[in-house]
Amino acid sequence: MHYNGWVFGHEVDRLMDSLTHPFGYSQPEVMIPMEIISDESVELPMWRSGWALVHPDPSVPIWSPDEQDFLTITWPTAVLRDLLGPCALLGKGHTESAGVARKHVVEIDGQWYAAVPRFFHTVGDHWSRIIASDRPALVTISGQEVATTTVADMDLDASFKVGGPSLIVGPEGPVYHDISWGFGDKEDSIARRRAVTEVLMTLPGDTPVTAIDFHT
Amino acid sequence: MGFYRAWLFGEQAIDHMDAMTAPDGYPRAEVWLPLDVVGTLDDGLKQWRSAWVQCPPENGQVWIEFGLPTPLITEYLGPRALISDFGMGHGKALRSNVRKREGTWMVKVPRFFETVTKFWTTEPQDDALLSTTNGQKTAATTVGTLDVEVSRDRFRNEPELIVGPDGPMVFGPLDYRYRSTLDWEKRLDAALHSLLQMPSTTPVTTAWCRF
Repeated sequence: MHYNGWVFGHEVDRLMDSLTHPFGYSQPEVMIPMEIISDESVELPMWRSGWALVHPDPSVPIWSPDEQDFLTITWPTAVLRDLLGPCALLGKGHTESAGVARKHVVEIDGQWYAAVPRFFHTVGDHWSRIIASDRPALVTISGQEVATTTVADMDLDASFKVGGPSLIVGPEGPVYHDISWGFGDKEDSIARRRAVTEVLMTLPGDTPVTAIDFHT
Repeated sequence: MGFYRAWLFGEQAIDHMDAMTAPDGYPRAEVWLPLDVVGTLDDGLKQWRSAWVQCPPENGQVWIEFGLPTPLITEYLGPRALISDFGMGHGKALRSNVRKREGTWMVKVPRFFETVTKFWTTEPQDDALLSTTNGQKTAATTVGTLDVEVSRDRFRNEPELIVGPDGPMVFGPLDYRYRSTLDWEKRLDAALHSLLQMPSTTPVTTAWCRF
């Protein structure tokens, strides 16, 4: 599926590359400790991370022949939020899991680390600045439909009307991501999208705004 | 809110459906599994280690979210456990279902680890019924009179869940198990092929499960 996104700021390529996983492989960018625990002195610690190492068996049909060894790793969501910051793409649950290739798990000074994408999850397998002609992107205050504009020239209400984005990325990373197509609370989603965009519209007037297409 | 369809083979499947239901989000906890497990070394790294978080109280209830290695889940629950092929199964239990038993922290989980619905019924919720060999449409029949090819109209009537006497055999919404439509079709074919070997009087019932 193809979706619209808006990126505010100059780092479009860098941010969008961090948010995609071409050919199924995301960029490992941040090292996260794998073996963490809240407090070992109590009987049942409040939290601890865990993992399972998987050796895909090529004789089992679900695995492709070139499948590499990987780990499924589970961390407490709050710990990931502290480590990766407010733009990390984390769910509402208290645990969050990711698959990490075995080669991206390393031991440094006796501590195991896993390299994960900068925002923990990615949003799709590729992205592009090319927007299909039947899917308008951004509208300027002069009423033109364009693929790039600036904060000062963007007509926010008109832009929302012609092509509500499923992804909004600010200078620090994604601030809105919803591809649920109305499943869940649509009103809440639209309100959240407007709230985060209004914050980004306070950036300097010459901040670029770029429409992108991403594919899942 | 829609329904998906399950085909239940045999009387025991009805009981399994209750074991896979979580009314109001509360699944029936039936089997104790160790919560705190660590595997042996594999290439310098421990094969697995379980994870958990004690969640903040919510509506007066304290839940624990946890992740357990799939080999351990299969060892305790058997091959019908609803778990992913990606090494870990994730669940959620009330704090009251986590206890220290004989020195080991244990968590009580549903019979097949995951649940599949909050509500199910055998009252038809749409016209996707089973077909019999004499051309009738019905919500329930037997193995001997089920016309499986007609019943299984791929584009509008294929079941998402098949439950046999030992438990669930295929479950579509757990879609990370199925890398392709072909893989799903193969699993469905294999499950139906084995269930159709059951005695011809074995009941086959359609259940409608709420998404």
